[in-house]
Amino acid sequence: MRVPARLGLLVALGACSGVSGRAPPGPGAPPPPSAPDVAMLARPRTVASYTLRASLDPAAHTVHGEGTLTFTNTSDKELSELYFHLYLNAFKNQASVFMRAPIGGFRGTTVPKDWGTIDVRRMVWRDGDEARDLWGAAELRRPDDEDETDARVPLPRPVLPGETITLEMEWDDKLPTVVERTGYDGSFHMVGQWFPKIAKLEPDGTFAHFPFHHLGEFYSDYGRYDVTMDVPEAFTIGATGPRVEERVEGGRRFARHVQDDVHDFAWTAWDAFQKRSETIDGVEVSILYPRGYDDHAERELATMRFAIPHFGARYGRYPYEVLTLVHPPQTAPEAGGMEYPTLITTGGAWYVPRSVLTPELVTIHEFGHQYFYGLLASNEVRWPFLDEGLNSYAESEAMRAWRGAGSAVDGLGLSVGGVEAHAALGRQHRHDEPIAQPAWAFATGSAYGALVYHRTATILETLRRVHGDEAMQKALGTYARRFRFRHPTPDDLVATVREVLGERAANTLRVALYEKGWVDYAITAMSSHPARKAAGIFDVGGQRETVATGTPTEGRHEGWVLVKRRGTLSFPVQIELVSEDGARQRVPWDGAADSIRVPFSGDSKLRAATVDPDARILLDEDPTNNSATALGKAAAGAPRTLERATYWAEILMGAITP
Amino acid sequence: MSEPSAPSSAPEATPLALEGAPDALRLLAPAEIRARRRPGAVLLFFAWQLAWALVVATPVHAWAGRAFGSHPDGDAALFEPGGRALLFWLSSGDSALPVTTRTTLLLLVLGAILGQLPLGVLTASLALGRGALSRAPRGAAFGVGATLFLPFTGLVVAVGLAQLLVLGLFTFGGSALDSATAGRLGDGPAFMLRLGAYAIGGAIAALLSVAADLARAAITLDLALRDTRKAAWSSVVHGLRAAFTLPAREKKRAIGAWAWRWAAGVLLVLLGALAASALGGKGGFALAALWLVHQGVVLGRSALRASWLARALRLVPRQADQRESAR
Repeated sequence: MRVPARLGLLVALGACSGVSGRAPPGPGAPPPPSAPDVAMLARPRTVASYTLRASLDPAAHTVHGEGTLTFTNTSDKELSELYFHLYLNAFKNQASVFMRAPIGGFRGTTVPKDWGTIDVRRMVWRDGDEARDLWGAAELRRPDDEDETDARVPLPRPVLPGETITLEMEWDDKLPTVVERTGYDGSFHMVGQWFPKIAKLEPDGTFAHFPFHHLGEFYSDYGRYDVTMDVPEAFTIGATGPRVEERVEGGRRFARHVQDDVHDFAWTAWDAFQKRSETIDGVEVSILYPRGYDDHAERELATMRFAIPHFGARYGRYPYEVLTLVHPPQTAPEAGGMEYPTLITTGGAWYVPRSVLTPELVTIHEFGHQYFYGLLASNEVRWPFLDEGLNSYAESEAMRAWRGAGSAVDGLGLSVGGVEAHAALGRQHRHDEPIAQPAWAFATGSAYGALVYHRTATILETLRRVHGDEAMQKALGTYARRFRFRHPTPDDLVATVREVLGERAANTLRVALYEKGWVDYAITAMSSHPARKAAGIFDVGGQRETVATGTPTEGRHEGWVLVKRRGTLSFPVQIELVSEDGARQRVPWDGAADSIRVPFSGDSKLRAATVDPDARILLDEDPTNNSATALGKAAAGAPRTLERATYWAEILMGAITP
Repeated sequence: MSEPSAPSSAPEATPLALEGAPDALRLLAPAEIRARRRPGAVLLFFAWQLAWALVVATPVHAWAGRAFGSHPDGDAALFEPGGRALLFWLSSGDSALPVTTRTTLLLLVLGAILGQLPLGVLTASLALGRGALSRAPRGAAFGVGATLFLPFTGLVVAVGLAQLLVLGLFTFGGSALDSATAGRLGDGPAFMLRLGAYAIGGAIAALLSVAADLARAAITLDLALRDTRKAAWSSVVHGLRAAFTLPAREKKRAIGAWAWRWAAGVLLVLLGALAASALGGKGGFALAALWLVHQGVVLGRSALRASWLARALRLVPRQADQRESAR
């Protein structure tokens, strides 16, 4: 899911950069595989499979659903109850956990103009010849809690380990106006989280169930989804998985989609969709978009031409046959920027200039979720950074590989990178809360966005810059391949980093994620003077010489620079010493101690010094204290800023007066 | 681009003072009013802009110098591709940001008001001349310019407020139109309606700018032609009345004359932006070259402004014309 704050910053900067932009480069050759020797599971273990039928009434904005759930107890415990997520009830009233959470600063904060509900009409367990009604005993609410998104369903008899059961279900959805990820806007319908969905079964026999929280996303078991949707004939359908059947009967369009090895199913229907399709790297990519968005559609397809092979090399081949991109209408922006298996929603107004790369960023970000949300499927509620954070890093890495330094804004002299935007935004709230905590534990939506998305991406980018591109891609490539379809945890990530990058990197990652780790390198003092000979009596070549105190060494200067490290993180860094004659020398420091006094010796006086001159430590709290100029030496100052500011003041003065 | 000649019915200029003296200061005849004859005044106007822009730039320059000036390469980091330092600088929560922003805005507004003095001097220099060769009025232009300061300032306030009102109304109206029609027409057409509303608002604001300069011309001519001084506000009213009662054909000429110079000015700004894009954040010779290009842009825009004001002085009827048309 995207972060509006970043888009706002980028659009503002882009507006300053003008409307022109360079033509996008072609996809180019993908990078070599990051961890080719790491084995990937070809298929996940199938736990929960659905065969569903859904009928949309676009006038009433309702969906009638029915079908079966086939569920296997893959744990080693007997199950006496099941849990079902009824996500649409988050929009039933303002007493739901979703609506009552006092969370601002993130998307989806508006109260829906039209409420949404899901009402289960029937849930029957076909247990041999017996039909056992389950829904009559279901517990929708907890005591003193109006939330109805997390239903407990007691079982008349336990489900044994390894046993597979089949439940028949029937339900009715009333879609809300688009609030977050799902809903309707006029005749546009984005149908997500729309069916009674069984909670993720953990190996210990417990269910990872939770009420739908404003900041929380999802966590599910893999299975096969066979879904037949019917809508009015004039509507175009986009859905998870390939279409295996389509027909029109009685003025209704029926479309059947079947997809194995996924953990959710979403679909959309609108009578104003335009459509383009293209096969990219063996994947049939379709884009559904509103009228007037042809240029956007091309930009998003161009993004996919780069992204599919690039992500395949980095994190393992995309295993599905299809991918559908949905660009929602401009009046339904909250439906955009969301990921479902083989279906992603993008976004952005049609007039966003090519110099502002938000359509590309959103598209590549949502596609990246196919890996971290789709194929790894970590618990997004318990550890949201494992999806959004890692994916934000992957998105900015891919965008930089494709578009270079100006991967977010690139026009008329202004070049802003996505990585740099992550670093700037990730600084907010960095001392407030740890990153590695559940979504519902964040105090504000802005803290969630800054830490989960941007800070995590900045941590990983810092590790990449410090340890090198190849090593970092190997670490994440190993993680993505090894844990494909396995629902990894933060411990799995840290262990993989330890294995590939070493103990220090793993410890850095752990402290940064769990303990609000931070670092600030600073030059706090420096000194330079003509070199002096050691004074005293010396025996040289059989002669005794006396060197007076303060005798200068011809043409040599010496001095020192005091560099300090503050904070709980440490990285190896370079320290650059600049002499008056322009000579530059670099001194490596492991960066672990609290400070170091770096000696200087040169042909002229020491003029200035910089720690981390290549800006590798993106996590550095304050880059402005990374440099110092020797006392008495004229600082380089800010002549470029003076020139630009003067010029634009002149232009503005000529423009603001009538 | 050629422009239409001054109205053929324009009377000969009325001497301002010391009629008959060889070096008399006089109001020039329309055909004599040309910006190219006053390079000194144009340069002075440009110099004022440069000087005040340096004042406006001082807070942000000081702030950048404090943050990045001690780096061996100075503020080069702020212009590096990727924008890490730039983003950090702008988003770090440094308390200098609001102080710098407010100070800069205040200085810009103050400059807009103080700038009426050099603008008055420029206008006076264009309208007046000495002797038969219409030499530059030099020092006398400062005196007339000082007299024009109050009426010109009144114009800035009155027309500026009107422009803000127009822009606000059309911005609000455009957004409302977009929201009201998006469902029925689709996003693209609805947004085009919004853009259309913005464009109309912008065009009206631009026309008000044209009227303001015509009013400046009328005020200058009025001051040169009459014997007694008017109150500043009376001058503003007189100037605006003269601008708005200009015959339709003259209004069209005025708009055309203003529009091509405005377009040329925009092209110059684009040229400056392209130069900045090409030279990036380099220092040394490249920075000096960029400074020269940018100041060339500003000087070119100053010349265009002077050229337009000269045209406005030629277009606005003088008192004799007004009396004539009143009969």
